[in-house]
Amino acid sequence: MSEFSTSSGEQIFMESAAKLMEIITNIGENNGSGTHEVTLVLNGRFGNNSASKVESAVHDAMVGCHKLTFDFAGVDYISSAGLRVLLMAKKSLGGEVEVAVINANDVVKEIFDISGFSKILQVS
Amino acid sequence: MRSAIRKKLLLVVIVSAFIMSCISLDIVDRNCRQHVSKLFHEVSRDTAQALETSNKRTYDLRSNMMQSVLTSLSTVAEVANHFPDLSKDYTALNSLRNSLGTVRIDIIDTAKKRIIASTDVSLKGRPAQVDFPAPIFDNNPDFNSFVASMGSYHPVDYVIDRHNRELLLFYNNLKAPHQAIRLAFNAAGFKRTYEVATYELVTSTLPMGETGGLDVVSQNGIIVNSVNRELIGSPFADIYRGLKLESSPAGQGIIAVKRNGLEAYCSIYFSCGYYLIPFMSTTEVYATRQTVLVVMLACYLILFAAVFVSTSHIVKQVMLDGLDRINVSLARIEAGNLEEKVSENSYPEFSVLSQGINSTVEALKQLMESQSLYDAEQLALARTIQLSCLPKYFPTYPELEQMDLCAGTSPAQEVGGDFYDYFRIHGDLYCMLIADVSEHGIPAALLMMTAKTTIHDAVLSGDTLEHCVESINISLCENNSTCMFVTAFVATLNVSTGEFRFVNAGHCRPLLRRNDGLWEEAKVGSGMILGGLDNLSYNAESWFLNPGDKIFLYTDGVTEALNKKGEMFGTGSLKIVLNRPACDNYDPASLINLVHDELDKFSADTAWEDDVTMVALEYHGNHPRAKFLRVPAQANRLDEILHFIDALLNEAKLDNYSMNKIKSAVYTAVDDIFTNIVSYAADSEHEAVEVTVRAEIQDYPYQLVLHFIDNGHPYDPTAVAPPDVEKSYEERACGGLGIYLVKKLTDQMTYRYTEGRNILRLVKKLENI
Repeated sequence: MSEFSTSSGEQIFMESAAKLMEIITNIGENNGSGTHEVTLVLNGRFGNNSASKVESAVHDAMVGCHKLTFDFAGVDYISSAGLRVLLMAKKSLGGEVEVAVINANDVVKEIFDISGFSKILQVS
Repeated sequence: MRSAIRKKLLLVVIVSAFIMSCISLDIVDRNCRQHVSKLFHEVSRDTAQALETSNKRTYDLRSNMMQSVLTSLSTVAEVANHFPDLSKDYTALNSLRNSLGTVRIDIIDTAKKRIIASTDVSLKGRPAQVDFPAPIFDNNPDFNSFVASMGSYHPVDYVIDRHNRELLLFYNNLKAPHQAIRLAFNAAGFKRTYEVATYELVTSTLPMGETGGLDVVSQNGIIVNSVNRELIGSPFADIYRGLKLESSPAGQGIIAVKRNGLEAYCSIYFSCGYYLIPFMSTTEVYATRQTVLVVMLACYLILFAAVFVSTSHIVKQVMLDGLDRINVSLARIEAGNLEEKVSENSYPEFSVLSQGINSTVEALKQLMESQSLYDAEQLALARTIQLSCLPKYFPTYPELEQMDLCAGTSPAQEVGGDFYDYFRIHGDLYCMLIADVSEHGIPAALLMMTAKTTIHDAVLSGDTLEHCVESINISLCENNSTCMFVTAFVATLNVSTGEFRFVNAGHCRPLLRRNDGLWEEAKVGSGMILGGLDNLSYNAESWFLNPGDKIFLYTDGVTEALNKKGEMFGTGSLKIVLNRPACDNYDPASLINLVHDELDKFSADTAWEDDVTMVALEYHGNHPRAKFLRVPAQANRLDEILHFIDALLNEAKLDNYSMNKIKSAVYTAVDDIFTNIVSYAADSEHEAVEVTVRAEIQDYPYQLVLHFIDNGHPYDPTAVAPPDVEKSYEERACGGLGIYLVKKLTDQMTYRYTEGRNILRLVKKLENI
């Protein structure tokens, strides 16, 4: 969960303002069938301005992926642009590949609920 | 109602009883008379029979008597003819007398009118009456007539000697000239014999009852026998006054008569030459009547009482109880309970009545419902029209930095007479006013519309404020036939200089709070009300406001709001509420919300009697309360906006958890709103679409209020249809979620387009979760 607070919030915001979104792609072990699990660790604001960046990262990670996990621990918020990236990822990977979101904060989880994405993604 | 029916029933029963009694009385009377008539008839028949029998015997006896007397007379005459010297032979005469059994034998010289010989020697030579017939003097006329009748058999003259009580029979047809024989009988004895023969059986007639009896009257009108023996011999006409023997319908019915001074009934029968008159006193005839009547009336009383009681009971059971129950229901319906159902089904007639009432009430209810629905619709429409002409968006000019103004009104009735207004006159000059029309309801609302338009037009004319108000007054005086008036506080504020000019036309004095001071009632003059008298002059006053100065305008509905005890809220309470330390830094909108809530609490369940209207403003000058950020509509300016809002939110008093949640939600909303503005509103030929973001935190309620104002194409995000979030990912479109998320994540989202600006207002409550 992001560490906002009245005292340090501005500082964190200033940091993330400098780099809109930081993405770390962790590719897991090949499980023998030529596929692997990919985890995208997102850090920043998953809004309109960072959506394209995440989208290209997803695109890169999709090849040979049998499970795509987004780590939302560093995500401040997600806008509809962010949701669109997640939906496109799910659509591209198809029903066979699981798309999961972990460590999402309460509001992001709420957004997944109200937008119906909880039924599409594995949110935990 | 019940007592009326009882009274009528009682009347009917009493009248019936009376009629029955009269009929009974008549029947009893008739019965008595018939009974007596029958009795009379029987007695008369018996008497007639007896009379018939006795009459024959009497006749025989009389014949014998007469025969005997006449024989004696003829014997003496025979002897005298044979013995012309009989008059000289006393012995022979005397022995003749003895043999005949007469009292005396006289021989009379009719010429000399002297007795020439007699068995009573003392009478010899005495004068003798020879004029015949001699007067009859016996008091029994019947007897007299009997005696007289003897003369018809033989050439006999007779006289009853008054002095010696002798019956004298004359035979004057002797051979010797001027000689007559006179036989004297004992008249009393003769009469006794006669009477005994006559009345032997008649007198055996028994009296009837105590006062009744039978009178026997001879054809010549003499009572020959009577139960009252003293009346025998009396003339019938003396005893039976007014009754005529001849004309009376003999043997038919009974006749009321006065017999010997007593009221009586009698009948007249005729038998064997006698009138038989049975009689009985009226008292005795009706003797039984009284008893019969008393018994009968008693029976009637009991009978009719029983009839009355049972009838009233039946009427009560059948009618009145049912009617009572129906009336109870009707009373409830009358009291306004149209849900009441009449269910009186004890008799078919009541069922029909109940159904009739129920269907009538049902029809009435439907009619009233449709009418009240119609009325409610009309009033709601009037209310909508009324409110639609008042500024309802605050801040009305969100880009205005030097001043904030908020206003609100709650009409006491559906439509009220209070109003306020707020508009820009030109440049930096703004007009704000509050007013109160003197009545409520539709008439007040109509005047309010007129007044509002008039004031608006006058102020926009650019004339001085006092002249404006004077012309407003004249306008409102024209055609004011209903004598309604308006109180108003009209002001202008130059936001660059802070000059606040105002005219008070009979309105409540405003509350003023100079920066860092307390709320006080402002010392302002008071002009005349508007629409009362024309051609009045008004004075304008001026204040110069400093940043932080606040003004609170209100109508008397605020201070005159009543609680349950009937106490008024008052200006004091209003000041106390506004001067609470917690409210020190309240913005105008918060002030209005606060006072509104305090009034609600004060009045509790009591409805406000008057409209409640308030206007609050704060002058900021060059120190605006809200934060403003102006950026071009470009996607890369989003972070700047987020930063700007983040800075403001950091001032909010929230715990970390709530703060982070609210921030996350607000960022999502801001991201999507700005993205929208950029992609739709900024898609324009205009070279520079600028977005103004106005952000402020309001205290009451505690909330973040964001305004996004842009000069792009009109675009209403609130009109976007929500996506179907239930669809599977294959069906989901990429997009269309943004506005939906904003709506879900904020507490309020409103949009308007005014003066070439899209104005989107977002509200997020700042509450610790």
